[in-house]
Amino acid sequence: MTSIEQSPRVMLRCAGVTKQYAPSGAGAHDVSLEVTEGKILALVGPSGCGKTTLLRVIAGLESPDEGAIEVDGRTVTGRGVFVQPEHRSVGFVFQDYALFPHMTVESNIAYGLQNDAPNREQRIDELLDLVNLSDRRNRRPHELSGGERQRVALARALAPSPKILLMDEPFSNLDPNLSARLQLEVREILHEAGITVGFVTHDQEAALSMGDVIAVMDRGRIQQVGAPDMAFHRPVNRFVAAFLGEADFIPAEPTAVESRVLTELGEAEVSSALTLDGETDMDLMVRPEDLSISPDDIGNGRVVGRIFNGAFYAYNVELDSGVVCRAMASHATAIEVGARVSLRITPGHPLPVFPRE
Amino acid sequence: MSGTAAGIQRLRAIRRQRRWPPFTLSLTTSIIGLALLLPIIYLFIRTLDAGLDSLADLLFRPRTAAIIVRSMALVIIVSGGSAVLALALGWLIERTDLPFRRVWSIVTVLPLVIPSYIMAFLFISVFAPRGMVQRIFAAPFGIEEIPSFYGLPGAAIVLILVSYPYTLLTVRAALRGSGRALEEASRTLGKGPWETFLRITLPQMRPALASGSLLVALYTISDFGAVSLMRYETFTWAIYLQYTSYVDRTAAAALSLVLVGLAVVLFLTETTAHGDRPMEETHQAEMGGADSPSVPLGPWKYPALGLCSLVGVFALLVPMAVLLFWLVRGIGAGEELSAVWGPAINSALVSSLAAIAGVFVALPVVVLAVRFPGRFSMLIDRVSHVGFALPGIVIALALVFFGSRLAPALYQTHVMLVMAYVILFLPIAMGPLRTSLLQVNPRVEEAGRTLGHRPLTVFRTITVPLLRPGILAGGALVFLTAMKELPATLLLSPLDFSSLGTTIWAASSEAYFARAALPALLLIAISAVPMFFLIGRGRSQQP
Repeated sequence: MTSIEQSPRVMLRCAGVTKQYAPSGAGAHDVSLEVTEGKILALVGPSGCGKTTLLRVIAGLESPDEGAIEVDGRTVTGRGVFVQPEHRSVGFVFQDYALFPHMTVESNIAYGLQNDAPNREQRIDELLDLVNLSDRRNRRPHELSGGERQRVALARALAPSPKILLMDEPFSNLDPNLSARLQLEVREILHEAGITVGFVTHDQEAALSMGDVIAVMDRGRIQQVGAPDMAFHRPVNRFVAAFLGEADFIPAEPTAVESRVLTELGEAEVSSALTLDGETDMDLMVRPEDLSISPDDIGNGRVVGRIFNGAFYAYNVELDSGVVCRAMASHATAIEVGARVSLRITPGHPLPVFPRE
Repeated sequence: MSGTAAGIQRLRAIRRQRRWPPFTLSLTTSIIGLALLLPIIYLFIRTLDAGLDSLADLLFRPRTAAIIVRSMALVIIVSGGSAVLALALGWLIERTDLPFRRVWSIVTVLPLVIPSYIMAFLFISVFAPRGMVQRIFAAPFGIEEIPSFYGLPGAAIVLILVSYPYTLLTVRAALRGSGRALEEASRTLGKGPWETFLRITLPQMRPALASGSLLVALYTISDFGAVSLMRYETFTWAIYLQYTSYVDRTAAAALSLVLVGLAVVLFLTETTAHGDRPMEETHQAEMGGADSPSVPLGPWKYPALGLCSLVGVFALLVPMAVLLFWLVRGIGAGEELSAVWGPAINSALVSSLAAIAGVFVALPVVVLAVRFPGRFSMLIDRVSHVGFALPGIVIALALVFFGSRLAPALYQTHVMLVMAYVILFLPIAMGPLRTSLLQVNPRVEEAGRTLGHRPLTVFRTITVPLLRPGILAGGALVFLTAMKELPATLLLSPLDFSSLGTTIWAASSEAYFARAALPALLLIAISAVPMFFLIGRGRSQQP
């Protein structure tokens, strides 16, 4: 009994959801995932990977070809059931916000509340307060800034107290600075509201910083689901590795120790469960921050490019084998292009290996 | 085996991407479609009843061929002339630094409120033999004869002057919608204004020119007033003569069917020309801001102003001046002015009813066409354009046959007349509604659903308020067009019913120009009211 109480409540469950738009294969394929109460799920992938389709299917705006969807334990799609979007208790924040242009901020938020709801006024005040727009309540959408519109859309979706909230590319219409600030703000609002969220983004940084759970999608299929740091440090395949951050792959040889490999950059500890049978060629994934670079007249490579990005210099280093690797170093030391350097794997945490493609 | 299965699955996937319309919508629009087609189908049956031999006899007479040739010549001259005029005026108004652009933008659209038969009677009274021009300018020099104005030239000039605003409106909308970004891009790529116009602007205007020209062409073959007063025997006049002069109406019906064929050919030509036009259906954001520089005209400013003035003078100034002249003369001659009130009230009443009914019928059809594209909605959409393709006299004749045989209770009542107007002007109501609905982001409706409201509630609280400009414009256009309508009103009116249009036509065909003046002025005044919606809308859209 106690174990049931302790296990977190699953608010959203997708089982084998498939929605194909055209024979070309755009859409979602056999997507299964779960989101537990109060968590923020970030669905991330390149544009056209099917993440928006999945979101629309969950909201009931599209019907899937196959699969089932449960919201808070109730089947809303599949098994012969299709609950209309207005009866799903699923909130949706649209990419372009889709605010009602003929209504004020207040009426937009009130739209989803029952006319005879007992504390309707109070609820509207609460929401305006939550998104910090109390002084904008009588404005029309076109009088608001992009960030304000986004928060109205959020408040409007939250108003009927949906069981889950879906957000489609909520930050893509904002300029990068505003976007970064709003991500924090929205994350706070959502956690304060205690609501379960699924949001879609093509921006891996937004996914990593906002998601409690991250699901990486590619070509309609879920590639990996997990905590953001796990997905970042232990990607299950090359796609996830390269999508979530900068990653280079360098040839690796097995060593006498089972969990260690030898590369041009030295020995490294391996995180993957993959056994190195010595027959398949292997690549070790290294991220720029896993490498240390220092000027060295002998060294093992040569700087072929340098970009200054404020806090760091990002270097492109061509190793003697011809493989090009990216590395970062603080701006205290600037190495000239063309200089010989020594590039080493910083010992610390294990790195994943993948079969060579 | 697996190949077939995969194939089937792919087919299913294709089919699934189309969303099926809700049942109530399908049902409503199906009923509308049937109701629109019924009279025409009945016209076919009625005509075929006469027997194929006598039909063939009627159709293969040289007279029929002559009518076809005359009609087509008129259509080509009028739609071509309107397109050139509209393109020139549209470009000058939307894209250049032409002085008084705001004034011209209103003046050039105003002829839309002048019905062809009023324009025709005014031109006749001015330019015809023994008309004003001859008496005032030619007679003092001893010139007894000026070139006859009747026939093709008169009909063509009058019809161009009253119908070019249709093309002008579509061209201007397209010019505004396409924005200047492409033209600016072309200029930065080293092309001059003239080459930019030819290679960038003009190709983009093609869909607008095509649909505007179709409107004009259909207006022309449907026109009854101008050709009858100008004594140019095209189909509509021939049908009317047959219908009124002979007891046997089969000949009228047969000619109507040929006219239907002609209209359908025109309509299909245009829709196939539509086939590949990526620019039309997508809703485009307006590009290019208010501060985009206009094309400087330089010394060309003067010919441009000349063109605008010429159009203004002939399409607006001369008609109004002559009307006032006849009015004053009529009052002097003791015309009864109060006789006009009855027809005026009649006209306004049936036109308002037609506007309301038209919008109500158009709404479901437009929602189906825009939100649920597919074969079914395409079919209904095509059917709803029947009034667009079919001349008023044909639809009126069809309703006469249909009403006198199958619905005697409705025959020669206001209901029948309003029905004819709705069939005729449904496409006119649908145009602005469709444009409005295309501008309503479907995500907004989906947002309404996810906030817990049923589709009909969402439609009422979100879609309809956002469609308001389209509803007003659609209703206004129907009202405006119905006010001016002549042939269907002549054929379908209740016995003691006369509208402003029928009064004017009856008076001017007997050359009682003074008697036609007051109802004509009134008609122009009444139909100018809805024009304010149109122009106001155009202005608010202007950058």
